[in-house]
Amino acid sequence: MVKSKSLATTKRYKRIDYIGKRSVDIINEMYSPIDSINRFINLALDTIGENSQSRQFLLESKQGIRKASALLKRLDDYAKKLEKEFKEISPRG
Amino acid sequence: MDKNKILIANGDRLSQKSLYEMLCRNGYGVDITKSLPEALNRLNEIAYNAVILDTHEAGKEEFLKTVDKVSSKSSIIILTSYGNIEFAVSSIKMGAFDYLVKPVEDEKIISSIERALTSRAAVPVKDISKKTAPQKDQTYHGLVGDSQVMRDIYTIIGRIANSRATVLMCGESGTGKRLIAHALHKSDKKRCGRPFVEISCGGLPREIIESELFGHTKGAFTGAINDRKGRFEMADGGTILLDDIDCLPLDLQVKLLRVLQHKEFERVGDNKTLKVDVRIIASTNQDLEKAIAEKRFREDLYYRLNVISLHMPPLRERKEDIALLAEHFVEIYAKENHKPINGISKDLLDTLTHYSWPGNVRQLENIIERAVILDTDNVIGKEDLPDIIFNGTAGMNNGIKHDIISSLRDVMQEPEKIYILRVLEEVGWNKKKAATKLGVNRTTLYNKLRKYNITSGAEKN
Repeated sequence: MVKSKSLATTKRYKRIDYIGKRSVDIINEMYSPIDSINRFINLALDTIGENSQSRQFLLESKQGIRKASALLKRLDDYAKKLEKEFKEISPRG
Repeated sequence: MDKNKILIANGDRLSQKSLYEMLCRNGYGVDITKSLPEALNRLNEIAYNAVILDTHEAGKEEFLKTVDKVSSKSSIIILTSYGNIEFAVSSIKMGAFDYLVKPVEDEKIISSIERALTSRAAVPVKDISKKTAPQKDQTYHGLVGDSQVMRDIYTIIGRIANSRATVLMCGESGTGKRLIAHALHKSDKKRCGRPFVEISCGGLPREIIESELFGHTKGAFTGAINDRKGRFEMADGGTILLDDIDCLPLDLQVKLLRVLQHKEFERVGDNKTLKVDVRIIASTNQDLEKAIAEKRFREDLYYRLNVISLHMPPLRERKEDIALLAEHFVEIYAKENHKPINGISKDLLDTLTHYSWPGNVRQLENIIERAVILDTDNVIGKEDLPDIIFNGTAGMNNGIKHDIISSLRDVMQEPEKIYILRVLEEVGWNKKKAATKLGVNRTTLYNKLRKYNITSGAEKN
């Protein structure tokens, strides 16, 4: 009885561990397109006129990208903190 | 016109395209490769000033290997989505110039590239040595060299590695006989995981050497307070290197012959016969046939040892390896001394190539170590070399100009003698200090002193 409970706990930890790792991977993979989009926006801003309306749209997009990046960063930091804590917990419960 | 050539390697299409456009706009000449192997091929064809390596979590090991290979050719800037301290440290250790985590501002990338270029530009003509850094096929289990003679040695090692044959290595002091023994041991599939034990037969008195080789039992002699295993027992299953085999006393040569023939021996003070399975490698810098003629070495032992004979050439006979070796040692000692050495000047390489190297690779290693420590501008130049290199070269040239036609060996011996004398003078004729400074053991130094008939003024009187 104790053994099967312990096995179930271990399985649950493994599942959480897996989900956590996949989430961190996704967060990290997200940085790459965000980085590229930000660079393309910069390139577009370089080629567009100072008073163009499109410039405003691009600047707004850049703000949006910054916000998305900041959100991911918070999530990443939280995941890393959890990962550290998780490592300290014995999976044997 | 392009400021500098940059290669963008790896990464997804979006990332590559955005970097390409941004760098082109900033005046760089940019090429893109989709994979790491493709990047390596491109680097072999074109000299890039910097490489931006984009990496993912997967394939980290392959990535680090690429960094290791590429860092000698171009400055590497790593661009990754995975901000991981361990990976950053490994990358920098492998030779990466900078490590940037996405998302990263364009200014930061440009700044990193410019710093990388400045650090390389500091050595305009001088960084040629980086192009000659030892590649995988130019080294063999720690042996460095791309000359035909070294390639032949690698082939022989490969052929005999898995045999049980005893090997006799000859060659001047400092040529790397010990490294050959190591290479043989590491190449031997059966023994590589077992001990590699070495002993210098020249550095110890007769009583100690017997006990060191074969072990002793408690009470076998004064001071034998415990049973002790000898080197042969320690090496059981592995390899033993008997360095300076010519110095082994005659009675112990008989005992060694028995080990060679029957793989058995007794500890000092014991009757119990022990059996071992050891590959024996012997080395010497002396002419063993001459030692046989002088009754200092047993002929039967010589033939037993000389199943496979390997001759390690002196450095002056493989000058094409000097640049590779110098670069190899610079890398080692720059790391060891935490010095950011960018390269070796062309002048220095020319000087090193023209020197006669009486102390062989060991002397080159010592001189490079000294140069790395003394260097102040991150480029090893002629000013970092000791005077002996310049005097030694001149001395040798003068020797060749002599009217009396000497043999090559005589001509080569002259600078060696001059160098030994100079070092002895420097250390006040302290043989121990001189041997350390010359990078040879004391027995070798004594042999050289005998050979060149060198004695101090005090000894003459």
